[in-house]
Amino acid sequence: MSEPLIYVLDMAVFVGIFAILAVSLNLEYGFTGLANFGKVAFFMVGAYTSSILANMGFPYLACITVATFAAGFVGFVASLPALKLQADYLAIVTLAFGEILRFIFKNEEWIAGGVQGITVPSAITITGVPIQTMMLIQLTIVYAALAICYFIAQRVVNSPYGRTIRAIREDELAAQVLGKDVFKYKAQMFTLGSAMAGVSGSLFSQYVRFIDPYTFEPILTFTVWMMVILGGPANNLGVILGAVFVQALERGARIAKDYLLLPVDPHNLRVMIIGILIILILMYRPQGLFRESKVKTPALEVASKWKKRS
Amino acid sequence: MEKTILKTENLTKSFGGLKAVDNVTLTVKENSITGLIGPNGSGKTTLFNTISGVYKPERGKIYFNGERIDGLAPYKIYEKGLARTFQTPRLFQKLTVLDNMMVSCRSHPGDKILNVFLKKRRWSEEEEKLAEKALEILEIIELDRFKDKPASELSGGQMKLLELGRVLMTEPKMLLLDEPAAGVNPTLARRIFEKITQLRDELSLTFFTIEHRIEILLEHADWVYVMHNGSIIAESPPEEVVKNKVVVDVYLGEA
Repeated sequence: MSEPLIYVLDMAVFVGIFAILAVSLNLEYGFTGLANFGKVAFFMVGAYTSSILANMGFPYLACITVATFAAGFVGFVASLPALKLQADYLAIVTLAFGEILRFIFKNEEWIAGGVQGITVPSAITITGVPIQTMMLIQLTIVYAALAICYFIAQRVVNSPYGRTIRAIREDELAAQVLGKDVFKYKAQMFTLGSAMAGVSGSLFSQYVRFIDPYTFEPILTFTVWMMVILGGPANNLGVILGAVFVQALERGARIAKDYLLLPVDPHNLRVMIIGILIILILMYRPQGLFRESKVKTPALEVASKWKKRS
Repeated sequence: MEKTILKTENLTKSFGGLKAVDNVTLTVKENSITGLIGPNGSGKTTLFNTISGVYKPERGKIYFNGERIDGLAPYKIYEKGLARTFQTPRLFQKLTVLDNMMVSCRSHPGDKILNVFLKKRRWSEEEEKLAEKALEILEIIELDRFKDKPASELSGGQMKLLELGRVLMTEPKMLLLDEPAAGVNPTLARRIFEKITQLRDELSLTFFTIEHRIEILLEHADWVYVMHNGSIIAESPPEEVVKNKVVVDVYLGEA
């Protein structure tokens, strides 16, 4: 077991954690058209809830479950006023919401130590195993969670419900006069997306074992947005690959910084590369690397048989 | 006596100082094709927007099938069986033609988040039935060969037709059509109105239709309302409208 393996495992864990966030933002933005710029808020709620419970001695399964529901609940409550707003205003309000929440965690020391942050006890303690094995266990848990989130997201978007949320994204008024209670769908997707962000936050806190308010700055939200825009909104596989790509750059830059002698700091170069890529993508391939996936339901099969008949 | 399906009483809606709909009282008989004509800016579309719940009326009442519907959210009005189309088609551009049809169907079990997970078999069966129905309607409006194309790739006339097909999926009792034949060639415009008449007879629907192609509308309508500056200035059977001096004045300028 060598150090490069640790780097690879570390990167893989971060890819998994961020892929969950990307899938959750894709449900909100890619499919429903909700510009949620406060993704980090729900990630933060998940992380703090999970950490506080872990410090109280709850088993990890309880921590992650409560964190999921807590983030989902906060998402639901936040969505009630926020979703009355049009796209751009929703973006501003959610962005501000994330910052307000972060300032609460920062200034209210009794919640979780304020600026001092909070150390998270490990959920799984096996003595005498090498660090790589521990990381493999973490990795398994993260990817199991990602698989569940991916399954849920795929099920949702490949259904009549998924067709309706895409219709809402395309034209809200038309969806309304066709009998869709638009607000209900939006609130449900916002809640589901927030709950998934809670899962991700809980896994994150358990992996890094220490969180403070500076971990949850708005840049984290933008990182997830990059993944969705690069990968292709409304394509779940695409945004996961977007997460792989952005994290590979992010972590790869750190490895390069540690091991290679370069005339420039690769860690800073990475920011430029991502910026240029986003501009290129938006100019030449605004749909992202992957196109929007079809609504896969039994209707497709009926339609393909129809062609042969006529 | 014929039953009234839609009735408005003293309906008023203004924007700032402009009364776009001014004290409109009208009735639409069940199973009729009722026309609504009037010069540009006379308030026809605003009247439709107010009836369908897009705008809340300032004053006045709207009855549909004897029930008050004014002030209800658009989706609630739709649930009562009153559907509408738009003057410029509002399709779901990135969705396929078939998905545009399917999204419009009424009370699909798979359109609820929990059923998506818990009742997959049930909604899948329903989905197959609805797809058949959607394709049959697409065949009637001759769009079935475009079923897999995104709606954004259709021509203007085809978009109009798809919008009509889309509301037919909703099994409405009554349809508000905002210029169903605008922007299509005269032959297709005639065919659209023939289809409307056919649908009225076969599905016992009621149509309330805004149309600028007065000659085509008058061939098919049972009753015509004329709007000017937000008010109804005349109503009569179609053959008498063209003889009405007030109406001719409004259309041809001051006499």
